[in-house]
Amino acid sequence: MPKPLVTGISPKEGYPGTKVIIRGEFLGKDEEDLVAVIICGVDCTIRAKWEKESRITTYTGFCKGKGDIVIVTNSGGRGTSSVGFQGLVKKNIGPYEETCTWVDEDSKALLTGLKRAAVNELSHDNPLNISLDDSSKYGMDFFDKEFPNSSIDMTQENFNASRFLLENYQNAKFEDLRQGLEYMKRNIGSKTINSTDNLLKNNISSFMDAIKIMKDIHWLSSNDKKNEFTRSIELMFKDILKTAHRIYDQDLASKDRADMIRNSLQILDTYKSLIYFPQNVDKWLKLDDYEQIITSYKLAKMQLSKAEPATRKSTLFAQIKKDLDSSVLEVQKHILKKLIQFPSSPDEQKFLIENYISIENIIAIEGNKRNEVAFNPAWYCLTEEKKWFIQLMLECRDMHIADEKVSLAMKQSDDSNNNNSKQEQKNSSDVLKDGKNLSNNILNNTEASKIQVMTQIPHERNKFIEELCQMFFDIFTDYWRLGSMYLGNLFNNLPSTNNDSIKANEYHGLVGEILETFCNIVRAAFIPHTFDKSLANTNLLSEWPIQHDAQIISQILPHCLKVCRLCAQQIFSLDIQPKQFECVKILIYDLRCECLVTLLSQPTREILATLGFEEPDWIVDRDVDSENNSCLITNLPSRFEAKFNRALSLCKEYVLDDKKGEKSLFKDPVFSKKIAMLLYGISHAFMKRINRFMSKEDSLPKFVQMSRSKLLLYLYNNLTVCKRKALPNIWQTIANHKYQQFDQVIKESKKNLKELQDMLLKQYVSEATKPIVDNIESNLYAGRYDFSECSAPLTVRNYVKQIIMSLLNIHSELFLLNKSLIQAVLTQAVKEIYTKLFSLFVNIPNFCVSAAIQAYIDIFCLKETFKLYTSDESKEILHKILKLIPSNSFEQNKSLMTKLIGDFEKGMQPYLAVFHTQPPTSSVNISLQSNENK
Amino acid sequence: MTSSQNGKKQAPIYKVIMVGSGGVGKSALTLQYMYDEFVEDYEPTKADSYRKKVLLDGEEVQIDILDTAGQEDYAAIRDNYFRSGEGFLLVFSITEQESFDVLDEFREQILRVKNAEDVPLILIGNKSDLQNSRQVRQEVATDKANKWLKPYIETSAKTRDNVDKAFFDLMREIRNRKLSENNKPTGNRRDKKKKKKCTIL
Repeated sequence: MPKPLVTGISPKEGYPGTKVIIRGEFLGKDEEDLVAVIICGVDCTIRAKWEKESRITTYTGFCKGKGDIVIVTNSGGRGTSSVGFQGLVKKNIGPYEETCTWVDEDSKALLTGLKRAAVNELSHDNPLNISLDDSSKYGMDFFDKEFPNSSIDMTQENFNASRFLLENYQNAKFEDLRQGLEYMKRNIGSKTINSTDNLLKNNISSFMDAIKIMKDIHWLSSNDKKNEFTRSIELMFKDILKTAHRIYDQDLASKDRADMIRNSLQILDTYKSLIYFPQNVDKWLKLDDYEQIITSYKLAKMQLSKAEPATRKSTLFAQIKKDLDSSVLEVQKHILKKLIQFPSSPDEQKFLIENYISIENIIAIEGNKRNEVAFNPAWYCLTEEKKWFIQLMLECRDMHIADEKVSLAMKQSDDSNNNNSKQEQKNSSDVLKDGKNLSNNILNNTEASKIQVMTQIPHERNKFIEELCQMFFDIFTDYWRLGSMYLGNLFNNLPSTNNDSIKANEYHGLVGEILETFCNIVRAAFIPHTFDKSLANTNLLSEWPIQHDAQIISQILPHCLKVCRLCAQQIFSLDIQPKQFECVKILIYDLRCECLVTLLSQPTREILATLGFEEPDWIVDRDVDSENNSCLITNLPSRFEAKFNRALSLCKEYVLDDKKGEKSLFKDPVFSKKIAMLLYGISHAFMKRINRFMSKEDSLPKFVQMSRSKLLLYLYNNLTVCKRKALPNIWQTIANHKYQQFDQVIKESKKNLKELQDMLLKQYVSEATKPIVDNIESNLYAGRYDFSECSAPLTVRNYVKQIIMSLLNIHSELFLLNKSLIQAVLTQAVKEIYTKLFSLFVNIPNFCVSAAIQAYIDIFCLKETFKLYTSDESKEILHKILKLIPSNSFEQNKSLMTKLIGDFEKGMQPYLAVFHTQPPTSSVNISLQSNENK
Repeated sequence: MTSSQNGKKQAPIYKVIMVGSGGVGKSALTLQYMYDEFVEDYEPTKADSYRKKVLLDGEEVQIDILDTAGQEDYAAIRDNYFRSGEGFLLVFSITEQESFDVLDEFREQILRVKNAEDVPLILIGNKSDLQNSRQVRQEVATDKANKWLKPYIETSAKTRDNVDKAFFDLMREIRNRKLSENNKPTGNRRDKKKKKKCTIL
């Protein structure tokens, strides 16, 4: 027979133990011929079943990868295959998978197969090979009755053929039966010999052994007459039995042990999560995976509680439980540690707190009743955060204090050359401490050079307040959120408690403490004099370097106020209880007051220090009032107004408007009064400034080139304009801004103004007329003029002309600067001139005729010239003068006098016209101009 | 080298894949062709492999048949099988309309896996011995085959009717395809090969 050739495999791949059908050619003549089946190098012969020459079935062994199928037969030898088998391997083989490859017990390799092989031939279901008949007419009872103690099993002793036939082939035809018999005969004939042979052949050694044993028995029995050998055999058997029992017991024991181990393995597997929990917890903690921890812990707890009582009592379980609990406590500790790691967002905190509580809850499930006054992580977090928060604020403050000290030190080293300034600073710092009479004291420092140009760099404290408020607001908002969660019991899993009101009080205490600290810090930094040092504990005490420069303070404070107010507004919108908010409210109020004071002091200082010392202050402008009276002014009033307004608008912007939840200003009459005083101080400062210029206390800056009289006029005009325009505007603004109690201020200011103006005018008049009056005497006697002895008059004397020219100067000055003053000033001047003349004429002992005529003409001309400016008083004086002149010779010289007066009027006409024009009219303006040009 | 020295040439292998829904008779056709036996019992196939030498038009060739599973459970692993195939017998049962209808899907899968417009393929209507319970008319099947430009053969695994024809026709198709593929893009390469051989000799 040729070599076996495998041409087909079904299936072509599979796991170990797969049943495969191998097809091909020459796969063996019969069962005996088949020697080996090797699939992928694994011998599968044991389970192989030869079916026919082209077909064998078997089960694959443990093979991996693709390999050939080799059939070995006696007749053909080692075969080949044109197809291959692919062995697959299950990956998930582990200690809990049962992967035994069972060997079929009915395999012929086992001894028991011996009998079965023989019997199989007979116990064919259908030995006659004719169709079996199911529809038996008779039941089993019938057969049992008819054929007692008989069987239809051919292998049994009590086999009864009749019953067998009746039961199985009741309806078969006789012919069929005969054919069946033939078939059976053929079958038996072909197989019995074969099978016996096979039996012997296959088990030859067993038979040999059996024969040997029988021989031994025969020999023993023949030798041992007393049948003793059976005894020994019996003993031996007993021994064997014992041993067998022992072995069996051992087997049982080892099986038990195996079971036990498997059992424990299983338990370990079941409680794997329990045992590994502590290790896993560390891992999860690193990842912040609390959810995982909680779930695992819950699971573990459940497993623990579900575990059988017996197991629960075991020490291992106790240990596990201990580990579990301790590790969970560790987790809780860890969470708490994390919880007080600030800064963190409320969501984060909530997350942590909830996790903590979840764990707590699971612990509580176990039966340990939850303690009512149990530790509350949220509360813990709140208190810890409060501590941290306050610390943070203090740190912020300290940092900025240090910064400011450094910058201050640098500045001082710059200033060190100037010892004076230091002294001044000391003075002003003392002033600041008093917090009162600021403006008055600053007056000492009015040297304009002292005022340094302010730096635009934000001051250290501005930076500080911004940072503080930003930080405060950020953290506080978060804190508040956490707090409301705490109060509202918004944490999942937290059992609600009924002491909510206590909780709320406690919490509000915390909030209050924070706010208090904040307020104190701000207070200490910005308004130290309001800071109650005795109350605050030591670490809150301010170490801020004292700020000397009031100007800088006026810069810092509004900014601070603005930032703080914004912050307070935001905090207020959080619905904080009024009680806790009170300190913030007071702080804001104090800041506002302070700020208002500072802002309103600022212009006073500025006006006193700088107004009138800058070139723009002296730019000349023309002002025309409603009655079309025009006068020349400088920029002083408008600059004053600007400064005043700036301060007011700053106040308005930063301080005045009450915002939601703020204590309104001006409710306190004392404070209102104070503010009113400050307002008054500003206008007062302006007047003081003017006054100082007037009284020559302050010399004019070099760039201002003007005569004293002009200066006085300008100042006068400025005041006029100020009264008319600047002050009303300012009062209006003040009223609009709802300042209180300022009526008195207006009245007082007006009064001051009036007084100052009067003074100015008096000054001007005396200033203007003094040189004229002083000159009259020398002019009267000019050229050694002798009243007792002189030639006939030729014309009006020069002193008259000089008086006229001088007054003309005054007139033109007034006309240019303020026409409305012409009348008043000139009238006054004329009066003084007349008075002087009178005193001079009185002292003339003797008039000659010519002198009398001359004097009369002179006086007459003066009288004519100034007739418009002659008050009743002046007229009287004039009359007295004329009386002093002897008039007896006038009659004869009348023509001469008339001529001389006519000449005078002719010659002086343009000048006289000035005085003869009713002042003030615009037409005069032109004539005056032309006259001056001449 | 060894084979040429021995004077024996390895017979060319034609890889045929049986495709069709479960129970249409793929395994029956295969076994009938391979071993002249008809298996009445139905046992679902996973993936069976057969290979034998046959004479195709006087030339000794090897036919390698991969009998695949029709059941949907194995749909996922079909791609792998299809990839290795050179020719396909798309089998349906003429007594089951549904088995005929799903062939379009099978064909599309084959074309997709082979990434080709056209592959050697024959449409097989099996169980032609059961004319009484026929559900798919011959014309309908022929129409589909014409649409695919493929032959249609009705077979009976039981009576071995047209079984050999089906396999041999498919092998011829594969052979033709192989020849045309070799000719087309490798005209140059073949020359080169020849030259190389010459130098070696």
